[in-house]
Amino acid sequence: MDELLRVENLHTVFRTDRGVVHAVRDISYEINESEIIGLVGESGCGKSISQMSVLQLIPTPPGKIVSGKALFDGVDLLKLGKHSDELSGIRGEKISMIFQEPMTSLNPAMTIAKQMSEVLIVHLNTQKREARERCVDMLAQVGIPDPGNRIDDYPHQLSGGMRQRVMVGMAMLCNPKLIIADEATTALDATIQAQLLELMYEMVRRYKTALVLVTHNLGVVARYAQRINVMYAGRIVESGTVREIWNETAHPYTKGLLKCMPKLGTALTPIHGKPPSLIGESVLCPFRPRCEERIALCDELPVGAPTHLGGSHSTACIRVTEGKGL
Amino acid sequence: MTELKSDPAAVFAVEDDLLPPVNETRRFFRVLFSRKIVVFGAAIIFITIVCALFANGIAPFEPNKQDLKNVLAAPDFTHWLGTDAIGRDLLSRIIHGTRVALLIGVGTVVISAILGSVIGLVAGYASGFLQAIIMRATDALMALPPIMLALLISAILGGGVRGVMIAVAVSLLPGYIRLIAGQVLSLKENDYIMAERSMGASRTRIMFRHLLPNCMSPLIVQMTMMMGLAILTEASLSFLSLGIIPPTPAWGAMVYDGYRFLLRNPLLSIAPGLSIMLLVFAFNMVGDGLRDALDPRLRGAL
Repeated sequence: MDELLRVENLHTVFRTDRGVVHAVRDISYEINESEIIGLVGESGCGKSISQMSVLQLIPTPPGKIVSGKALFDGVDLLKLGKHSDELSGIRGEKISMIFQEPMTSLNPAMTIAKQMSEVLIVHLNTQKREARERCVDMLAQVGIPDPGNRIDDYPHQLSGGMRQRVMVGMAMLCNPKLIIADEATTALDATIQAQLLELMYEMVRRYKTALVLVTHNLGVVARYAQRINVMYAGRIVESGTVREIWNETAHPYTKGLLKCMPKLGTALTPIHGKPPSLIGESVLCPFRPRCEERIALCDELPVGAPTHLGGSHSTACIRVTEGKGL
Repeated sequence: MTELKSDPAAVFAVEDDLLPPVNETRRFFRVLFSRKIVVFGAAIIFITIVCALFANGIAPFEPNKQDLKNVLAAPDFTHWLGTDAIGRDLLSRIIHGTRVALLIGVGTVVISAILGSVIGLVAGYASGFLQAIIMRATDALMALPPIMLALLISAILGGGVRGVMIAVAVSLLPGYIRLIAGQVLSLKENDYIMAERSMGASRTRIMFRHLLPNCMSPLIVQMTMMMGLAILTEASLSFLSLGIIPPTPAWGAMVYDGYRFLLRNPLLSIAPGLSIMLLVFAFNMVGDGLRDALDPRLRGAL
C-alpha cells in the first residue's frame, strides 16, 4: 500500500492567559491509501486539534502550529498559506472532514441541494444542474429516502441521523483520498450510530478512500479500523494494528482504556485521577501520576517518540521499552 | 458489535409521518399579520405607495399651482385641507409628498443597508487590525448624533434629493455596520462555518453565501425600523432648510412653511406632521411584526 499522508513531529500550541497549552506535542504518524485508522483518546487529549492542524483549521491566534510536517502527495500542507488556493483546493477535494455535531454542521439558511453542490462547484466547476444530479445520486447512496425531494429541504427539516448522512455524502462528493471523521457519530444514539458507521465503512470501501476515525469509543475502532493510534495528553502513546493493541497491550493507559469498555454483566474499572494540564513544558511521561505500573525510571527518564516493538506496534511506555533492554 | 441491517428507509418513513412539513411562507404571513396593529401599519404603507405611484391621478390639484386669490383658505369642499400661504392645495401637496418620503425612506435604507452589510461582514469576519480600524471608525461616527452628521453632510453637499439621500444614508451607516459585524462575530463560531472552511470554500464565499443569509432577519427588521428614522431625518433636514429644495413637496419643509401661520391655519403644519408620524409609525409597527415573524425560534412551528 502506498503512503498517503505522513505527519512528522507535529506540535500545536495555544497561547492563553494562563500559559502556553501544548495541545499536540510532537506527534508523528502515517496513513496509507484506503486504510482505516482509529485515533483514540479521552476528551481534551488533542485528537481533534491534531487533525485540524493538518488542514490548518485551528483558529490562529490563539493557536499556532509550532513545528512539523504533513506530507500529502509530496506536498507539505503546513507550508501552504492558510488562505492559499492550493490549500483550499486540497480541503474538500482531496481531504474532507466530517464533524461531530450534525445539528449545527449544516448552514440553516441554505437548502441541502445548495450546500452539497457547493463542493462540486468550488472544486470541479460543475454546472448547477449536473451538480444537483450528482448530489441526488449521492443522497441515494447514503440511504436518504426520496432524495429527489429531500434535497430541497432545509437542514432543520431533517433528523440528526439524516443530517449526518448528508454530511457523509458531502464528504464523499469529490471522491477524496482521505476522510477525517472527527467524532462523526458520537452525538447520535446507538442504533443510528451503528447504521452510520456501517454506511461510512461501505462508502470508503467502495471508493477506496482512507479514513481516520477520531473517537473515544474503542469498540467502534476495533470493529472498523486496521490500525490504532492511542493519544494521551497531546502525545501518541501507543500505536499498532487492532490485534497488537488488543492482545499485546503495551501502554498502561491503553490497558486502562480497554478496561473501561462497557461489557454486559461486568463492573467497569475506571482510570483514576484526571488528565494532566497541558500547560508548560514537560519531559516526563504524562500518564505517570495515574499509572498503576509506574517504576522508578519513570520519574527520571524523559519520554520520547514511541519505540518500535515489532510488527507495526510501538509504544512510548518507558517500563516496556526499558524492560526490553532497548 | 453485531451486524445491524435495518432498512434505513423504513425508519425514516415513520419519522416523516410524525413531522408534517410546515409551509414557511404561510407561517410567516400568519405570524406577521396576527396583530391588528401590524395590519394597520401595512395598510398605511400600502396606501402611501399607491399615492406615490399615482400621485397625479389621485391629487385633486397640481401640487405647485398657485391660487393667489385664495391663500390660507380654510378647508372646504374644493380644497379639503385648505390652501397654504401662496394658495397651493394642501392635500395635493401631501399626496405628492409621499414620493419624497418614500424615495428617501426606501432609497437611503437600501443604500446604507448594502454598504453597511459589506463593511460589517468584512469587519466581523476579518480579525485583528482591519477589524479594529473599521469598528473604531464606526464608534467615532456613532459618537455623533445622527442628525448632526446628516446636517453636516447635507450642508456640504447642498440640499436636493441626492444630497439628502447621501446625508441620511451615511448617518444610518454605523448602525448597520455594528449590527452585521456583531451578528457575524457570533455566527462565524458556528460549526457549519468550520465545515465550509474544511471543504475549501473561500473567504468571500463564506462571507456572502453563508454569513450574509444568516444575518438576513435582523437586517430586514433593522431596515424597516430605519425607514422611519430616515423619513424623520429627511423631515428634520427639510424643516431646517437644509433638505429638499422648496417647490418640491416634502413633508418636513411643509411643516416649516406652515408654522408661521400656526394660529391662522394650524392644519398647514399639523397635516404634514401627522403624515410623517403615521408613516414612521407604520414602518416601525411592520418592523416589529417582521421581527416576530422572522424569529428563528419560531421556525418550523405551527
